[in-house]
Amino acid sequence: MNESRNVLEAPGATAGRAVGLVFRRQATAALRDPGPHFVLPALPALLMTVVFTALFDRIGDAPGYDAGGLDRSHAGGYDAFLIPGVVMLVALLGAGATSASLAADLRSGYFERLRLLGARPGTHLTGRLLFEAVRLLPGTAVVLGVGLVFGGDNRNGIVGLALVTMLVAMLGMAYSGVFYTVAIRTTDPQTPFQLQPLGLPLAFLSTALVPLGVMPGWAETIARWNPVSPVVDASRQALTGDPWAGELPGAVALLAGIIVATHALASLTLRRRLAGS
Amino acid sequence: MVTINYAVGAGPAPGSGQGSPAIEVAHLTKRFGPAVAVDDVSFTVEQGEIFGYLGRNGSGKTTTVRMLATLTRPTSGQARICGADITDARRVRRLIGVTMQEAALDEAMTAGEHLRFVAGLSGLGRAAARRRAEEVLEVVGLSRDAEVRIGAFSGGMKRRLDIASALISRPPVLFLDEPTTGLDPQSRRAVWEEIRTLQASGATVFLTTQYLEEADQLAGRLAIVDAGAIVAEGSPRKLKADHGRTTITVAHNGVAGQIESTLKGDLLADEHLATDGSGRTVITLSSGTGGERALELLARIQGAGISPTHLAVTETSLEDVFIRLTGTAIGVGASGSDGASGSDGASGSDGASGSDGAPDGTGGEDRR
Repeated sequence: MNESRNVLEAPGATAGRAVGLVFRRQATAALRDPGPHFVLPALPALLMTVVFTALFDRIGDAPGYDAGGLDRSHAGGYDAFLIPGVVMLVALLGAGATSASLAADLRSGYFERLRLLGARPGTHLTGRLLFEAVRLLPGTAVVLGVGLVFGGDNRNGIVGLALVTMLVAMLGMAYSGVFYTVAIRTTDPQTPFQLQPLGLPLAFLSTALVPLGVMPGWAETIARWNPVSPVVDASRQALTGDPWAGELPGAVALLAGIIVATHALASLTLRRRLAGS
Repeated sequence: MVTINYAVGAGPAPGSGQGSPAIEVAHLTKRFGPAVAVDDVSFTVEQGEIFGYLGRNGSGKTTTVRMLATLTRPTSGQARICGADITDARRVRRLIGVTMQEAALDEAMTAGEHLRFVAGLSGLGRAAARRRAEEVLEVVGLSRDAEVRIGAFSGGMKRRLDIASALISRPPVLFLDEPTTGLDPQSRRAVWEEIRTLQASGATVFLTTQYLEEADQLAGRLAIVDAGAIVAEGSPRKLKADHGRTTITVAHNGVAGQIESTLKGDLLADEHLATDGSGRTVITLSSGTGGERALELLARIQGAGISPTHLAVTETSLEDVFIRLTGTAIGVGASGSDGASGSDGASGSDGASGSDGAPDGTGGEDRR
């Protein structure tokens, strides 16, 4: 190797710089095309906020509504119960938008070209992952704002709102790994749209919209095991209960675990794909 | 140490790799299941050369580039880039710039954004990346289009931008996989100019092409590949001399016998004389570059007082060589490209871009 010591070699970006560059690329693209990135995630949650608060306001009178379980924290009426749950739909029904460009990059050969530049392939996932979190913030703010106008309850001020926002962002990150895994396998830029229906059972079969007590038995069982439920419960505590009660650290730990797990899966899938050639 | 500049007007740079060849390939083979895509190829490319890799679609050109660029693992064989073994992907990737058959770009980005992104990923800081992006845009003549979205670029502009991306890290070795396939004649010539400029600034260029004219014009040496294997290698002139035959066609007023008797004692063992369907005398020489020898024989004919009504000396074209070596012409569009290329180049490129398929940009001749 001595003989080629003097060859000019492009060093390749550090992981941190590469992640920043990927993030910036995603942000530029999103600002240019704000619809799917910023607006779409908020729409279902907004719609449900308006419709559900009007339609189901009296669900609180239903038998079993106050039954114990995960929803014991809610103190007010259904509106106060709904808002910290429905805001999670920003992450569940608007997830994975950055998987579209990942699939497109893999399909067009752009990814392969970028790979030759020396930065580690994983940085393309991490940069997108971070942008997924940031992307959900405007929608979360809008849903919380509208929700509070429509009867939501916030007893913990800015701290409560910040904690709920953090939970939405983390849920979006955790869920995006599923999108990346599918996008890498299919290289189909339509991945975010095709996987979107998956968010519906995750949302409806959790404690996000109705308490466990009014669910039929089978739904209650699923909701108890649905990882979205503990996140919603922590969110509810953050707005209407004691934000530092047991739910929050549990939910954060759970989400952190899922983020690591789904992204390990996505990274592995990417590595397999790249090694397959 | 190395000052490969890739900027407009840059002077020649000293070679890199300090003496090791730019590309050394030994018995490189790639099988996809039972199919042999690349069949035991060996060659060496010296620093500063433009080495052409000429073959039709499906002859293993792209697979060869992909192996040398560390994107596809060889089934067997070895290769080194500036002394670095291709199994050492991280090291090799720092030494090469690559463009693939289809310009792989994100059409939502502007040219400048794309190049700054690429420059950043290759390790440049923010300010340096910005400067470098401007430099390479100037090299490929796209400075004025820096803030235009790539989606609005023509095919030729995309290809030039793709080449610009390959130059970002000033790599000593460039792999250009069919850089002009699908381009109109003007764009093709613009790309040729860029490739010559790159060579002048010290880069080694490995160029695959299915255009005979392109290989003839650009490559100092070339390999002709067929069904994954190299069937001949050398400079275009050497290949023509070795594998072609110059012909002299003499039209006359029925003096075939006189010409034959004049030349009889002069013809070498490998040269022969015949009469074609129109009664013209056709003299076939032993070499494909027999211009001087043709003059000698014509002087004899003139000396004998024979005055032809029409006379043509035809040196071998690379196309003749290709047909001779592989059995068939290279393709519909590329045939006759040694001659006037204005219009047939355009039809050729259309045909080629249509047929090389692979909408996912991985190259028609490869599976993914």
